[in-house]
Amino acid sequence: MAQVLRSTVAPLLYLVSAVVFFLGLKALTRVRSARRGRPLIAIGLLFAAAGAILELGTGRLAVFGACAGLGGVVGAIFASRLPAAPSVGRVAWLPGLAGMGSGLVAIELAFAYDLWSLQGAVAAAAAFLGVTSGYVALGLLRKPKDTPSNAVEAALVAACAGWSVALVGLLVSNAILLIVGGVAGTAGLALGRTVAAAAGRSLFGLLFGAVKTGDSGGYDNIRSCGTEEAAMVMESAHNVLIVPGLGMAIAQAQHAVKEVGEQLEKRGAKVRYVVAPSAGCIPGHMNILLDEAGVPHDRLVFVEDAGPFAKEADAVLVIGADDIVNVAAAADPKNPLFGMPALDLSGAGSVFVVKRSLRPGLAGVKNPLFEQSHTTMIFGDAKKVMQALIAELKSSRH
Amino acid sequence: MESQLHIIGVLVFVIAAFVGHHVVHGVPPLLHTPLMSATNAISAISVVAALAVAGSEVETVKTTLGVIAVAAATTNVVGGFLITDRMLRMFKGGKSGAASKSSAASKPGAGKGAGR
Repeated sequence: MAQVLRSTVAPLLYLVSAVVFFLGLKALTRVRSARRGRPLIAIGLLFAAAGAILELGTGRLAVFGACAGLGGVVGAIFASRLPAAPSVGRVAWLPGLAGMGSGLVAIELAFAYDLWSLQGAVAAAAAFLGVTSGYVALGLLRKPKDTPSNAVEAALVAACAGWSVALVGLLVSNAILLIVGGVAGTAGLALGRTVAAAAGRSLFGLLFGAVKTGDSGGYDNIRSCGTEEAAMVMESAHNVLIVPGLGMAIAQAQHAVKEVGEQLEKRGAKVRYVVAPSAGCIPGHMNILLDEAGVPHDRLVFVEDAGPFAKEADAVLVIGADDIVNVAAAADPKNPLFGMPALDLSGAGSVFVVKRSLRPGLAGVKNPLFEQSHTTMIFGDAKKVMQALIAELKSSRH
Repeated sequence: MESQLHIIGVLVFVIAAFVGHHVVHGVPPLLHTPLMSATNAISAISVVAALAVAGSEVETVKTTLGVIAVAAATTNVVGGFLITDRMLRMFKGGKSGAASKSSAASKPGAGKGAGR
């Protein structure tokens, strides 16, 4: 009976674990399904642990159970003391611990092999990766500031830990270690690359400090997102401000902008369009374009009067209008925009800035708004972004 | 200890590595941090590794290392999941916002009526 359990039930548990685990990871890669992903991964891990206990016998389960309980309590206490959005550096030591654990296991294994054999080399590699992940994680603990390079290092901590586990799996011929470790390893690496790409850098460039030249415009703390996330935030907003500018005029996006506004109004949001008389190519350009698209006049607010609206807005969509929201430039006597009315969005909810790149606008200077934590960039042509946003808003209705 | 490197194991590893890359590749930036914390928590699979190696034999060094490994890995999994959960709760805005929308609908409703 025990034999049957080991040879049949344990692999089945592993299989279930691997499948559940993939589904969880996949769910976590889409905003709408993300919350479903986390419990799936936990269930996958539970199945894996159950399979391992079945397969390997229950000799000193009490000892290990006690350790697991201790670890669980420490983890829970640690997590409860962190803010809801902790810096990656303060979280990375967790996978570092797992990597260390795997490294320790690999060191144990290495005792059993001749160091110059293939197994010995694999065990040494697993130990090295595990210990490296712990070491990098410790280094990250001392960096409280969130920079893209810290985020990439944190992803690599998980990657090293994953690969270390996979190599241990190779040595002990355990399928679930191979699968989950292999997936976690490359998932960590791919995540590192994606994070680096979002910061406009390559993985190696970021790790080894090469600064990308080009139109990053001197910004260093920019967050960007796709239309899916923007749609999710906007569809639950009660007060939405739309700030169109030259970018909308050039892309001829006014009809699409109006449709975004209508979609949001259908959800019960109060939508206002902020018009700067100087925006666009000719005075009053925005009024003309919005009028052409059929935006009702009572939705328009002049930029001078928009301050109170900005304060109560849950979501703001700035469309190719960065000069209108550049308060710093308008306050600087040396700047060409000095004295122009500018909308202060620092007190608004989520701000989405649709812009083709980070090149400065007419002001020729950085816009401090872009670096504020409530601001997210959506890079792209105004019309294409608006059309994608409309599609997202429509698809999420049912 | 049974300790040959099985070629099938290498195959499984390579395929798993490809899957990992393709599942995560191109994930939207909003999810980078929660996904990172989830992949972090996944690393706790090393608890299975610790069980696999130290669970079956009675030997002081192995048991000690295994015990430390298990404690470390469970700290990771519990901490990692709690943190991921809290991060993801921040996006719940989409859903809970929809629920609270009915209560708040009266306010924007007035403005909407006037606009039409």
